[in-house]
Amino acid sequence: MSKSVRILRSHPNENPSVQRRLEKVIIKHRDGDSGQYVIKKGGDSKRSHGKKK
Amino acid sequence: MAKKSSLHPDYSCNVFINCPFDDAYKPILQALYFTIIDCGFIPRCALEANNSDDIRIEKILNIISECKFGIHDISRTELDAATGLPRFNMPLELGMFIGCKRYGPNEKSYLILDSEKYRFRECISDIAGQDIKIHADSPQTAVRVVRDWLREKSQRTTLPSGVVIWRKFEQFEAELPNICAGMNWDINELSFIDYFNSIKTWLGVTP
Repeated sequence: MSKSVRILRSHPNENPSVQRRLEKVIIKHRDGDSGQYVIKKGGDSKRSHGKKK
Repeated sequence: MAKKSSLHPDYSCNVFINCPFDDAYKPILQALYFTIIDCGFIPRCALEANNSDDIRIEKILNIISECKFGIHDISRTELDAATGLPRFNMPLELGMFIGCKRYGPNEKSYLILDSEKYRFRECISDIAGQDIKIHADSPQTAVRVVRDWLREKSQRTTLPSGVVIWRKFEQFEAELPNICAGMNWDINELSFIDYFNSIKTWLGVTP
């Protein structure tokens, strides 16, 4: 299946450190305690294929 | 002030938003922010800058000069209940944008939104003959109208359709209270830039 391409532009006043915190909050909330996501240092996230962390 | 003639690096992605900022309009305004970001553009408005020493009209003119696109909602051009006077900021900024398009060095496109067909004839009859789009105070209609206009004017073929954007917006709005709780933010006092950060980050981690 082809993946859609989304281009997200940057606002001149946006704040990358806030966005990194937001990313952690969003992923944590979505997955609760299911452990579906692993939060890597630096704010990147990656699926862990459903494994409990 | 000397006129800037050089193009802003994001000129063709910047969308000036000239809309009401009151609570009643917030559902439409937030849907517009989401649509613009999801379509790969950048919403720009007077709320984005917090440097209070700038003269407001200069700030608005600077933002307009950096935007190829402008969205102007004149649906709140009505008498204020407290003062009995009309609110003219939106028509004023629409006029500034039209002037920049007419006399400025760079190509511009603008969209005029209203809540009812032909209502503008009673307050700004000079804009008659232009294609004014109606949102009927519906955020979902506003999403579709703005998406379709951006698609047409930008000639970009990668924009999601209005229904797809609306579904994502509903999902985002459902998650927003928890996002705000996690960030220790009051959802009723979100600044423009925090709302922007939230949408962009949410879209970035949402398939």
